[in-house]
Amino acid sequence: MSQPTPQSRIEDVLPLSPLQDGLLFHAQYDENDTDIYVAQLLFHLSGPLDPERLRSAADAVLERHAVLRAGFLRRSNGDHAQVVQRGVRVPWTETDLTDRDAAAQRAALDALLHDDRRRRFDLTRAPLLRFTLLRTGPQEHRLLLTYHHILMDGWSWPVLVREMLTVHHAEPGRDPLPAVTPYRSFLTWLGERDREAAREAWKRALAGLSGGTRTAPTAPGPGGVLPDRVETALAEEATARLTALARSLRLTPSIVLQGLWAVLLGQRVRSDDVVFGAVVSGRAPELPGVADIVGLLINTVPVRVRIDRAEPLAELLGRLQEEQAQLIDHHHLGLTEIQQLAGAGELFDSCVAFQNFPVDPAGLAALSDGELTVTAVEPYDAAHYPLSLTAIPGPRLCLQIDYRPDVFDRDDADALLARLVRVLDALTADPQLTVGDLDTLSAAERHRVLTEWNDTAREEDYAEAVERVRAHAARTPDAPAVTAEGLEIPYGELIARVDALSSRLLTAGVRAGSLVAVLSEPTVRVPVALLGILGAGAAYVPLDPEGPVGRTAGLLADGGIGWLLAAPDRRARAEEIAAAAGGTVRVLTLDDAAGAAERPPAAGGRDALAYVCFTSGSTGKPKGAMVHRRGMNNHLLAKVEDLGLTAADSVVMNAPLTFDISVWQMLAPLITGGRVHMVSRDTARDTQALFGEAAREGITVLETVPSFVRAAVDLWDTGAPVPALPALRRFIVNGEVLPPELCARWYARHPAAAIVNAYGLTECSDDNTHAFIPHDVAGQLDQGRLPVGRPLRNNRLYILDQGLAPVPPGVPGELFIAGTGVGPGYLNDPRRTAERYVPDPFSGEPGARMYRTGDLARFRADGQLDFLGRQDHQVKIRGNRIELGEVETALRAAPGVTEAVVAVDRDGAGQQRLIAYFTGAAAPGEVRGALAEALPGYMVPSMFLHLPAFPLTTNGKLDRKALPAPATVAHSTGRAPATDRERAVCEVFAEVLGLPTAGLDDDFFAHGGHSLLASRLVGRIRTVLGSDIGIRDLFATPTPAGIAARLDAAAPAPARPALRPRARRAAGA
Amino acid sequence: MSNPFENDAAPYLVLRNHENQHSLWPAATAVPAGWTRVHGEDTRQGCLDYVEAHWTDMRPASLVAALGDPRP
Repeated sequence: MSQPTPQSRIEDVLPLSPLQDGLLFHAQYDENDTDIYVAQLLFHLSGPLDPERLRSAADAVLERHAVLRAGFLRRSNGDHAQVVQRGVRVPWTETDLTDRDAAAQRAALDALLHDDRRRRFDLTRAPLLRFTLLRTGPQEHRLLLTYHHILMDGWSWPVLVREMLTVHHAEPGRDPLPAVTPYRSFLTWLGERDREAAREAWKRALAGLSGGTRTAPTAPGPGGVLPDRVETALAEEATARLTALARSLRLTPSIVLQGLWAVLLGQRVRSDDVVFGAVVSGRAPELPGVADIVGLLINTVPVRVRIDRAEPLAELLGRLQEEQAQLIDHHHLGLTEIQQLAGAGELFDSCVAFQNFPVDPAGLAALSDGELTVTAVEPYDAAHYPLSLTAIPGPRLCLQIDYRPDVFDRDDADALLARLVRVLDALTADPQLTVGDLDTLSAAERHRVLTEWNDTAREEDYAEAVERVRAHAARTPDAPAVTAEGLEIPYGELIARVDALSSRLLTAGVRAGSLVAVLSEPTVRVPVALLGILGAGAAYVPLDPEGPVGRTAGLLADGGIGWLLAAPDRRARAEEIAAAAGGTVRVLTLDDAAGAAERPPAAGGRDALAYVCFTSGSTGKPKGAMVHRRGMNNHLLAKVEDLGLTAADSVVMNAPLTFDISVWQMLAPLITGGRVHMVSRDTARDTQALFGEAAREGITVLETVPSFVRAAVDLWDTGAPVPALPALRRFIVNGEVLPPELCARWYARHPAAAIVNAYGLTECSDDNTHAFIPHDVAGQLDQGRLPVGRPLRNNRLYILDQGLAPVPPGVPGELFIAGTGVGPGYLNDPRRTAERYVPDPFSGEPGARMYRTGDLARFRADGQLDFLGRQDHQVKIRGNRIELGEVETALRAAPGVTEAVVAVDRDGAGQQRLIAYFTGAAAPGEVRGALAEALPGYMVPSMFLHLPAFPLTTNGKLDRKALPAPATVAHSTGRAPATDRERAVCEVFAEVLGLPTAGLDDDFFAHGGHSLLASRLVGRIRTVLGSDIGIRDLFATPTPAGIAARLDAAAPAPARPALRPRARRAAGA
Repeated sequence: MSNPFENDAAPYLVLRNHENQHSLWPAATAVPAGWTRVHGEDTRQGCLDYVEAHWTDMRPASLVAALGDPRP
């Protein structure tokens, strides 16, 4: 500490308490922003007041408490110091409001409070306080004390005010106050604490904590945002009951509040181990005169609460009190240090304070020994935490929740406060209630989330899809039903081909309930196959036309699938698959025969299976989700109704056949008399090709995944021609989280193509919600997200907590889906079915089931669903559902691989991709080859990185965060480009792959390329080089050398065909 | 965080409905209407083993009755 000289203006230099340090950090975070730690106290003074004497009294108090004359500076060693200055006078302003009526006075006062609170202090310049005296009547005044919280805490101002009034009342020239206990004595005491013991105690208290508790759904922006407040006061009887209960259980009211806050937090963040901050007074009784110290003695410390849902509340509170008692002697340790000890990052973002200083009339009366008295006080202060709970004791316990309005909305805060009051009531009614028994929903909330928002019951209107198509065929036999580029099948021909196929299947031995797999490219034959199988009473099982033979055979064998219908050009592969499946699969050819000897009898029924879709399974085996016909029927009708489909619509079928969305893309238009347009897989994965074809074909409804939309608008942003899509009226996105900016960029180009954000589960008959996203995209945002919408007809959504009770609106929980869409289960997998398709306790129909999605979701205040993420290791890559476990299992099975882990990251264009890390003797190319044999293409990682060993955490587990970023492992090898064209191609490769450079022989797919990046690369080559190459060319020769050679070989690129009417010719052969 | 269906330390039941559909169910939660306990309390694994052994025809009972035939 420096030695001040006598003539110096500096009286003393003091260190900072830990909390002062913390406040200084927040004050300096953004010096141009509002400083939320500028606090105000507005005192109502009644009685004879001499402004001059009060001002002198303020100066005297300032003189008395050195800390009130401190400014905050940085020492040469970087530490902060508070520098106490001599001769500081209080800034003092007087205003007379007596000429105004009460309302005008209040308005003037509110304006003053508002403006004054936003006037920052320069923390280097003492004093960090100011007074404003407002005369409101002959004997009435308001005294506004504005101060920086770094100077003092809530226990200090009663001391300060009492002393001011004492001096005001005293004879001039006489010092009526006893000797001061300076803040310095607290700092000295602080320096003498046993820090090692405190560190040990906190380490013990926080041991095993997996992470902090964040209530804020989005990271609050930096800088100061003044909180908003909601508050309520318990009734006197309720307050009395609570006080009596706390006394009978020997608990402090503060512990009761903390315990219940912990329970609400646990529910909110779905954790049974939560932490929040608590404000402690820091006024240790062993420090003499501690009650009269003016300064910042409080501290904020973490309260960690472990929650056991089976534990009675009384026991939880008793346990909490015991745990907290162990820490009282260690409250002095700074929060930053405690957080470092816990090693779990920021521990909390919500804070609880129990105010013990006097704001009731009796307490205020005690502040004065003369005629001028304090009749009321209005404190205006804030904390930087997104959520703070404050309890103010009194005959009616007052509860306040301060919330950052940029993070929470008022309804949310109100609901949280109401929930707190409800659980307080429940506790006083029965303290033996377990945590799990606590019902935090009000009756109105329960009705809203279970009934009102699920009011989707509609006439089922069941009919066989084939019969609906037949009806259109009878009415409009010549209307186009199924088209592809240059091909058309009218309704009359379609139904003839469907009937012929059904008959053939029946003749071959297919029976009601048989499973018939289909192996075909997405040609016009596929809708015929789907309907023909349904018409035979069997179930359709789409296969990946390029899926590995072994995997496909395995799922046929495991699923007991007895029939394989193969397109003529897939017949050989089908035989191969059938042989690999063990000879129980009979292969039939999907030909183009039309006309049956006789119309097959109508088959099916609402409970019969419609189709089975295989999805990735976490244990390494795909799961076949079965969908019954009533589920499919309901979903098709929902699509027809919600999209307003009519016979005038043309829907493009661009989904991979193994995606369940391909089913509605084919059938919804066909049951409405509209047209389905089939596109090739190459077209479906090339944004320019797909939108170009949609433009030429006059497509009115198109569905894709957000990553495909991103690839398209990115290309359009970099100069690729934007196709005109005047006919497109509905643009559906599903399969992934929809980024809001994509919608804005889409609407900028295609304002008439309205976006529908769809969400659903294959297990629950495809989509279960639709959200209609208007042009005002920003207006739809809640916590930065777009909604996924409301339940479709005859679907119900439940968001449940760990005890399977519905959670309140706004609170995240696991999403369960109930209603007509819930399918029968996983094919031949009773085990996984029993885990996921579970009893629906909320249905009026006994024995009904609901599907456990594994997705985290919440209800918005308007009843729309927000998707929040997965609870497990399932990821979505370009709309494909992938269990990382399945990919890891395949990796470990690859020759030469010892250990394997799969991670997800984003490529240079912001698209998600899979990265495989492995150890062992195998080379990356070999592992890629092995995986391509074992898994469908979308599940093969974009990059294979060999590591000598996996990074481990201190307790020996894989440290996922320490896995190296691909950019640091992958690097360009091989020849450099020689010609201008090669150079240009290499540059495009590097740009699209996000690499510094690309060599001539760098394999696109070995450097993180995937199908959507491929589309981008092809689009960029078209734009930059003006050359037309197809996505197929890239798959065939995925290196710059290969692409450049193709460009060299090609004749000058022909102009793209202009928009023209589709040349129609009858489909045949 | 503990999921009510994924807690290896908690006791479970196996429930069955009129369609012969089987389900895992946490023993601590009331059995919903229309479901009968057919196994448990038992461990999660024990319950799933029971399901695998006893739920051999996964078709809904009413569908089996309507078809009036054995498995396709």
